[in-house]
Amino acid sequence: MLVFDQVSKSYKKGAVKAVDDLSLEVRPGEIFGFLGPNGAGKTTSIKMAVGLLRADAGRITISGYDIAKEPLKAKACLGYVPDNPDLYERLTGLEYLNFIADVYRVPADVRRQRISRMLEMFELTNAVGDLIQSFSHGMQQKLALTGAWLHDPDVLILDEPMVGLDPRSAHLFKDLMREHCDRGKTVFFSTHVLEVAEKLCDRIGIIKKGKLIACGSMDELRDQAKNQESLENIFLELTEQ
Amino acid sequence: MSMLFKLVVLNIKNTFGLSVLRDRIRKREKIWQPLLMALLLLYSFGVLSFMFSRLASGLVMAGMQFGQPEIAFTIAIVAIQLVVLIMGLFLVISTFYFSSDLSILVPLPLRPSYIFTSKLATVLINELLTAAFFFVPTVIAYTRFAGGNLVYWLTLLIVFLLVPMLPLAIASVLALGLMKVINRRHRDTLMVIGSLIIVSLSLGLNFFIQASVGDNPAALEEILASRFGLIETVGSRFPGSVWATKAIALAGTGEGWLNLGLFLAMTAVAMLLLMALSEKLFYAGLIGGDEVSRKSKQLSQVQWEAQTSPGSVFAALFWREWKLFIRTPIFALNGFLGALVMPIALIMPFFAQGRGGQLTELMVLVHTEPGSTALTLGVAAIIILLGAMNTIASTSISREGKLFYISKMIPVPAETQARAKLTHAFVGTIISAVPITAFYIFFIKPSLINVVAAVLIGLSGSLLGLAVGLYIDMRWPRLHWTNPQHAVKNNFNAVIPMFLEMAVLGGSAFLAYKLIAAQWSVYLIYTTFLALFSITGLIVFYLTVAAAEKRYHSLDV
Ligand SMILES: Nc1ncnc2c1ncn2[C@@H]1O[C@H](COP(=O)(O)OP(=O)(O)OP(=O)(O)O)[C@@H](O)[C@H]1O
Ligand SMILES: [Mg+2]
Repeated sequence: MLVFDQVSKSYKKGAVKAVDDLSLEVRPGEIFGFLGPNGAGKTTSIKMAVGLLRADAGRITISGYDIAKEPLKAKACLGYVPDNPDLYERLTGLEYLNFIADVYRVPADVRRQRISRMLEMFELTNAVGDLIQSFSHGMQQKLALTGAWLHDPDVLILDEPMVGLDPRSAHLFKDLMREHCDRGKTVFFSTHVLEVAEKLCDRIGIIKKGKLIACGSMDELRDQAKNQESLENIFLELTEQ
Repeated sequence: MSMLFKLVVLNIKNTFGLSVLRDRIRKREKIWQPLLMALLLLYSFGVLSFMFSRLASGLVMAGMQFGQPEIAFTIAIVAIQLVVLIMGLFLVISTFYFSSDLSILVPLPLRPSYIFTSKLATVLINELLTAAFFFVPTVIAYTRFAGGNLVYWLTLLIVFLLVPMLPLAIASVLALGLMKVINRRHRDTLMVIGSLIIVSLSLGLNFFIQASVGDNPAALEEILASRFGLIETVGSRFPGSVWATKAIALAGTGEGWLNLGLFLAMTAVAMLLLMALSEKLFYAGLIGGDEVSRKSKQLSQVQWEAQTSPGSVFAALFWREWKLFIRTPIFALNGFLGALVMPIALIMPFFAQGRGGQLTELMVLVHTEPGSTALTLGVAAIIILLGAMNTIASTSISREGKLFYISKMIPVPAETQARAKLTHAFVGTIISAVPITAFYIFFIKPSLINVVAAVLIGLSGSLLGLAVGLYIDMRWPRLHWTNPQHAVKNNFNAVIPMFLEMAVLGGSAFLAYKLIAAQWSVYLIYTTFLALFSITGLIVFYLTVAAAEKRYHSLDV
């Protein structure tokens, strides 16, 4: 579904190696958590996967489409929410959602049904007619998530999606991710909240200084970092020097 | 005080991207870009200066006939003050109230007037650049004639630095007042309306001055006879311009120093008053200023259905461009203000001066050949220029700013997006053409064929500027801005199409002259231009659209 194949990226003409030979496969039906210290290269990897940044080397495919070679097909299978959900402030919430639905070509009845379901879940039904400018940070995050869900993408790529969500919304949102994956789709997200990753993810990857230093299910990670039980301890041990 | 100084330096660095530039120079990375910009800027500065220097020489010569060559300075200073007052108002509002870095500055333990002044400094530098366009040619023209010593040059420098301050202070006071009183929830709309009123008032003032000088021969003679009579009349409604002129003209003498002192004192008082006022009013208009109206009501079934009805991808892109442009006051004003002001500015001289014989003479001229053909082509030229001036195409990537990621994320070919942007720009150009066309129809009453020709030639001629503008903006977009003003005003991309169109129009004027002289039929001349403009325009249009994919692909966000 989502495959990184020996992907590298450096900034400033090679001075900063942000992602270093990253290889990783996320399978259908899987929720994949992407962990790592600040500046490890999570956002950079994600931006390359959604076609915002060009990789220096390597290949990224989404549902079998190379994001560099067949960007339109790859992007059509993809939903993305960035780490800072800036949206068009001067559109209303609904105008934004309808814009997204139009460009992803979501049929009328499907879009209405999805939009109203998500809005009800996030309690945005009353706010959606207002300008996005008037939304709180969390409301914008919810709107961005709703937009990413509209076309029922094969692969959802989310950069720190939990930031700004209140506990109830975060809970509902986790259910939504689970449900999405139960239908054979894929979710790939970065996070700093280890409890969420531990409970929710089928597999976890830990990246440090651009390199993938660990990858696997919780059990596999436990084996790798001997005698550590919680993900927090595993994370601390693996990312130490 | 040192805090104020630091803040000023910080703001200047931030506004003009100095740190980025230094970073690049140190790393020898992409210096050619700013270099190219600087070269182009120098070139365009040269071209404009040349145009103004012809004007300035003319003014000095004309003034000399009455023994008052300094009139050139008075007029330049009045022009600077007017331009700074009008343009400054928008710059001031957007800088003071719409910069996103304000939310960082306001919580810092700094006095409001310090933050205000540091922002004002960046505006001032902008306005000094504008002022230089008027001032430098005048200095050259006058000095060639009058020469000058060290004191003269020193006076010039001081006057130059001071000139924009007074109108800027007035504009700032107006802005502070405007933002204090207008209702927060309708700020966008009210800001547009308020600014329009102020601009109209300033233009009205200008008209008033022209009218008061225009008509009375006896008064005119008297004005011309006394040493500074003309200067005092022209400058009478612009405080300071007379003092400044006299300071320059009499540099080195006691009277010269006195006038310079007066000018300096007045500016200083204005600035101090402004700072004091800003301490009281700045935060009052600023804090909570981003509040927008919220209905928070559930949409009715009809609204809901209407707002979720599907449309084509192209339509979705077009309406996105349209709404974002028209709903951001700074973009909309920047786009359409020129189109509104231009016809008014054109009408005024007629009303002010030629109420009698001149006007009828002129009317006869534009209703007989070749006058009417020339005028038709002239209106077309104005439409073309307005198309380039609305900067819709040439800032359309820059305007997206950090939201450009959405355009890269959606599964829509860059070609389609470019086409939507150009369509938006073309529609915008049609709108900018409305006031001038209306002015043409109601004021000149031309034949239908001339109206149609002016509009068609104008619109087809604008295609080139739009397409080139979009290409340039795809090549060097300015995506990292904190203030929407940076995307449209301080964006050099916006200027290039204007110069391009000016060059094209220069060539076209020559061609038109030749064709009219060769006695081609009117229809043939119109068809020639229409065909020429449409074909080149469409070719460049399609080349730009074809290049979009590559350009979008190479823009990392
Ligand atoms: N635009 C940029 N220009 C230069 N370097 C950058 C840029 N963006 C990121 N970097 C560098 O790339 C590295 C990886 O950054 P990235 O944003 O991918 O980290 P991250 O894992 O998402 O961190 P965080 O957890 O803080 O979000 C960092 O060293 C960062 O300094
Ligand atoms: Mg990140």
